[in-house]
Amino acid sequence: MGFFLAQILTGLANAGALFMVASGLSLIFGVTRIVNFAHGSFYMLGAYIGYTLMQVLPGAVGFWGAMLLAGVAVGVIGAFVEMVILRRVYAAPELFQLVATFGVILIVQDLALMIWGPEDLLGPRAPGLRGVVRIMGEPVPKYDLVLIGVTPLVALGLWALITKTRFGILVRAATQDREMVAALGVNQRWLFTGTFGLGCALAGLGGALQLPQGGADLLMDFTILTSVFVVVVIGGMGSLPGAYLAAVLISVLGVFGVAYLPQSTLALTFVVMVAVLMWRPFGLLGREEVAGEAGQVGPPEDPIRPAGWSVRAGVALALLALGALPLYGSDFALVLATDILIFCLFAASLHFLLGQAGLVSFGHAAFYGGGAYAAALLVRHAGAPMELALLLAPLIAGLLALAIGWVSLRATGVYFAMLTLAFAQLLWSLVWQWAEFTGGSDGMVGIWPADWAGGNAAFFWLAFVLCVAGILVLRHAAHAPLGYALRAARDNPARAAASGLAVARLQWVAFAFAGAMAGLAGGLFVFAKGSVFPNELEIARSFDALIVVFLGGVKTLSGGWVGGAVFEAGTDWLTRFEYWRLALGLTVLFIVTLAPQGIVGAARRLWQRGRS
Amino acid sequence: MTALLQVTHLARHYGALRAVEDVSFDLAPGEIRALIGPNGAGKSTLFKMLMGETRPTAGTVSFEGRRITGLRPAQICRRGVGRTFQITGTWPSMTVLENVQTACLAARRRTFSLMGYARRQEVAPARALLGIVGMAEQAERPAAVLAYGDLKRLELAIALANDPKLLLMDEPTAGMAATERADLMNTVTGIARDRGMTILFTEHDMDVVFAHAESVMVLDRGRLIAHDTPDAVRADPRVQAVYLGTGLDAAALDDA
Repeated sequence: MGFFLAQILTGLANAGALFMVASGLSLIFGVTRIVNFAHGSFYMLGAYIGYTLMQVLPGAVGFWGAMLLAGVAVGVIGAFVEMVILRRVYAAPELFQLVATFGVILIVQDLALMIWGPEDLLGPRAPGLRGVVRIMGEPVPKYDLVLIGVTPLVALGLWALITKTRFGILVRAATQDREMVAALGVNQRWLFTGTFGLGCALAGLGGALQLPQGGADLLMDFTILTSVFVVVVIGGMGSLPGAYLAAVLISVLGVFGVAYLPQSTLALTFVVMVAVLMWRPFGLLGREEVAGEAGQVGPPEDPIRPAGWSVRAGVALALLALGALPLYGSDFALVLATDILIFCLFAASLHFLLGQAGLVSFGHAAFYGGGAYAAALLVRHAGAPMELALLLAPLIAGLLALAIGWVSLRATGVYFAMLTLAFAQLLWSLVWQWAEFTGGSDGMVGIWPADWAGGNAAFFWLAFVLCVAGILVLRHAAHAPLGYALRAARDNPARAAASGLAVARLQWVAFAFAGAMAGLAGGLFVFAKGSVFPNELEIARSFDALIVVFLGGVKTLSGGWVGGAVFEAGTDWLTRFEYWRLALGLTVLFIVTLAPQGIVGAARRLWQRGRS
Repeated sequence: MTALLQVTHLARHYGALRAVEDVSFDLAPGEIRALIGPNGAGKSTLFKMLMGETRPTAGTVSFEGRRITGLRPAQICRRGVGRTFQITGTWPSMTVLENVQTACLAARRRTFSLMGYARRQEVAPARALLGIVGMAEQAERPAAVLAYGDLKRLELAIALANDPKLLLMDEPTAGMAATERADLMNTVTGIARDRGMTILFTEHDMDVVFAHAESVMVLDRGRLIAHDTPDAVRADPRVQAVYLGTGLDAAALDDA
């Protein structure tokens, strides 16, 4: 009994930081309609800034003061980010804003590395709260009790702010109807800045509060992000009580998982999440999202048509020149070109899903990494030859996409996006935890291609044929009846359904198709590198693909592979610098603010302007 | 004559609000009927239930003697029910012709196909449909740039692609100029008579209702309060009360 109680108390204590970050995310989304991916970064900043302030400020007052100051400081940083970056992209398509927040993640990662170094920082103990209290014979850290008490206080303060103040009334009004609030003459700019700052301050406070428990490290931004997405999905986007309820649920579940089923903690969380979504697709206390909020915004794209003969001839010539690369290129050029081709196929598969089906997946790496692991596992455990592994990789990734899509497609918009991310993360942790089968963090090495494809030139040709074929198939699908049906379902689902289109099944098929193509890219990747590591499944890989699709241009047919080529070549060059994330992040922000239609979109506009 | 559409005791409640309550009616093949009623009477909710977009709280809908309650919109469409929306539904990222081609592909159940280029398929039937609704000259324009009246015509062509036996039209002429309204309704009733198609439409414009409907149903606060010929409905004191409030001169409705 005492053990049971102690577990619940630990869970409640862990829920504190999670709730603060989740409520901040929820608040920001409600008002600005931005899913702030950088929220984990503000949480991390809160921890680091709190740590530094605690070194400077003395005693108990200094300790608690440092926490509050860390929250305030992060809030100010958040407001600054909103004013300098996000304000410029509110007019851009909604999902372009996500790319901007991802740029912020990259920048914060490198800034934190620059300022605080790569070592994990051990959080200082709270003065006067070092020991444990025995509750029914079980030791419970004193600091946990403080956290259990502080969290409801923060929640209550937030509740008072939202319900009792003018700012809160505006926040609630904007959450309900943004246009109406603007029409009433409220200064939206400052409302957005204030909300964003407040949300970030909450994240920062959460980061500082968990210092004595978890310390500060450079991975905590992505770690918390997954949990926060799960919490927000379960609790319901935009609902503060929902966020609290879900944070407690997930934390308590996590603690019990560690105690009784240590191997299945993550799986348990996801089982609960799936169950909740089956029962209530918008979370425990959430409202239905307005359709189209996360889909296509802005003016519709121009009708597409298959390329004319002159363009086809040009593309054929360019492909011929690329295919002849082994005749004139160096070994380095061949390896780089192979990498770029594979990444282009991966990007093109996500681009198909986003552009044609309007399904914004945040977890496309699940299928890229899934295909990669499928191929590697087949070679390692079943002794499969490369040819068979490359054949089965897309099939297995496609089946995986069918399974994940079956659950995720029950939700729409941001919920769908967060679900896909959560599933990718589940797969990542499965691979990580199941080390005896997958190699865990050591990955699997020595997965080499068949003898005939062993040379750089031979493998380049193999990748060239498969990737170009894959990209052409994806492109053709856009012109085929399937592509038109998908765009019809995306443009106006009600009209599509009333015309007899099976909207849900079409989207499911598109999800599996894109997943299979990503799986093919992943399979090729394994044999190109001779190895695979869990980071092919991680959030960053999904985001790479998202960035690329937006850089290339969603509402264009070539956006996927053009963006992929530019990005992969660019990162190859950028990663030679020590702080390449910073450089990449700044580049991303630069492009987001200057060319919001993406590279292909901007090029097309320039061309059209030149003609008229 | 057996009914094409049979609605029995249909109801939809939203909490305490009874949007539609105990509505029963039959539609005979080839009939052209209007459904009128003040704003908020439940017309759109009733339409959504007929098309499977909203699940009824109680009651059933049968089409050609088979129950269609609980089916999804796409399944109901394949049984032979077409519909147009109050807020015109087209696919703005395609050309006018491609809109109709896509609807034709859906009618042929070819939407999962990867074979060939969609823009070279169903060209003749799509052009024929555009000719019927008077949009042939605009076939190559993007749907996104069409004027509102033309969008309504395009949506009509889309809805006809499946050769429906029953066409549900939610406010087919809303937002159009008076001459455009008459044109569109003449087109619609002409098609209906050519093909033996049954039409149920909601409408706010009484000129349109009385000029084109063979019979009229009146919905008020979720309940059917009248169903008769246009002239009888016009003279019905209950209908006058709904539209004008009691004690007012019925001449206003006569003028309308």
